[in-house]
Amino acid sequence: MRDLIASELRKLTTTRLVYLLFAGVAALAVISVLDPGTGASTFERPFHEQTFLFFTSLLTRVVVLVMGIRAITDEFRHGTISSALVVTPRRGRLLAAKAVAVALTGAALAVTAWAVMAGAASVVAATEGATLRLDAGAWRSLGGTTLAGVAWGVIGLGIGAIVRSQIVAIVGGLVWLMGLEDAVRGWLGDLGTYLPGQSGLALAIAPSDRAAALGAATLTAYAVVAWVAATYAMRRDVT
Amino acid sequence: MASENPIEVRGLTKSFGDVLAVDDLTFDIPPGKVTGFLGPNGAGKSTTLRMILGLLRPQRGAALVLGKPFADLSAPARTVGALLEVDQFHPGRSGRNHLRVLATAAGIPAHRIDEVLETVELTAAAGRKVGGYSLGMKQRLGLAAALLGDPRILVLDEPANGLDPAGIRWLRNFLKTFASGGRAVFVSSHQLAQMAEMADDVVVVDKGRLVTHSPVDDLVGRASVTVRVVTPQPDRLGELLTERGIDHERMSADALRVAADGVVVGTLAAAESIPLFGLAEEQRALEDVFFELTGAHERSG
Repeated sequence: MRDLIASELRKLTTTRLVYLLFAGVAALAVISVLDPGTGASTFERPFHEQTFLFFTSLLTRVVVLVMGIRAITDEFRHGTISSALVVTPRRGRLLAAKAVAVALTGAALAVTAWAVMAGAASVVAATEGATLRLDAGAWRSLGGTTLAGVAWGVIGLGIGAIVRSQIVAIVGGLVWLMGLEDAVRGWLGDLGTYLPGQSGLALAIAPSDRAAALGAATLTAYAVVAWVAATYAMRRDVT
Repeated sequence: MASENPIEVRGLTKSFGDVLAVDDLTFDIPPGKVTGFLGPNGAGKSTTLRMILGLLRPQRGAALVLGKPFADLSAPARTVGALLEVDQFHPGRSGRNHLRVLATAAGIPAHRIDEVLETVELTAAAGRKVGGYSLGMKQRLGLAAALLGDPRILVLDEPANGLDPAGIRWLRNFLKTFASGGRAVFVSSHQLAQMAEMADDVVVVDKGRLVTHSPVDDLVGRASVTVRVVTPQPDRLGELLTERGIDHERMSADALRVAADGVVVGTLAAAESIPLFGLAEEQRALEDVFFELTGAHERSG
């Protein structure tokens, strides 16, 4: 299994995509901090209420989702899935190795985004004569963001394995996260909090440990469901 | 164990929607030989190979590798090397990294990568992205990937596609050497002429069904000599040929094609005082044998 995970990590690191995604989350984190709403007075607020944390979380999950989707749909798109399955015919094992690789990469993307955001925010705070407060909420948000990175990666992998078509999976994922979920949430009322996007945000910007734990449990449940569904979907013919 | 055939296909059947792609196919691939897999495009060759490799699930029947379904092999990459379609690479990944990914997954030591690159003469281009490779280079990279695990069995789908004549000759010699050590090669093609030079035996399929499984020399032997005769008395010559049990067919108002050589036909005509205006020997093309076996001309013609 270690060989398989190493192979999956090597797949991710031997094309340009993952490096572009790391550059992408870093750039989006900086842009979030440069939001004109951020000023000397806003640094007084608790970390979890900072708008740059909200925007960074909102944007990072999209990048991580795309990474997860591409980790499997690139294989279907370019046909490398055939050689991968000839070397590793047990599809569940291949998918499990992919899940580990994607979870590690998702976590790394999330930590990168958080660190760049915090660094950029400290610089902006210093120029405004203020200080970035790294309170308990800050460390909770780092943990939550990292766990969300793991979960979004696995969810992306699951969607990709089920849908197989790269374009359909990415467009579908983006449409859901960038608007459709909000529409559905309006409809569901209180239950809308348990939708995946909301759960992820709750996890990353939770005001309390309890809220973070609830978000973590819900988002993890989505990731597990996606993975189990993907395990079944992988049994289909590979043409 | 030692006596069993490396690949056994038993009643293999697969359809896609209404299209029956593979229809109750049964054959064995023996060790120590290059076995060709011949049929027109769409005959079900790739579908069969994909079922052998566990990529497609058969509706009925089974394909066994060393007596087991492919997915149950304990070390698949060290047992079977496979080359499927030509262009199954990530264009943004280098050739060497493509091999590295597969070698890592199979636990194959890194020095094998250099060895197989050397074997297929791709060392110089290994650092370049596959997107910039020619068709022939991609084909050689695919073959290098198949050889990584130093397998006992090679399964190759149209490996000669995209190779230049020198590359095809190289492939032929390579496969013969590979098989002569007691290993098995199963290689598909849609050209009998190519198989005639490459394979020892050939499995011929058409419309998903087995046509024949025989030594390739038997098929080549059917490409016999005929003569085309032009005469003002084709009917009379035809009767004489029939009396002597010599096959022939009428080509036009004054021409016959006769399944015999020029000496036989010329002597017979002279003895019966039938004037001949033309007598030309024709080597029946291997393609004609192929068409006769598979009926492919009915569709493409």
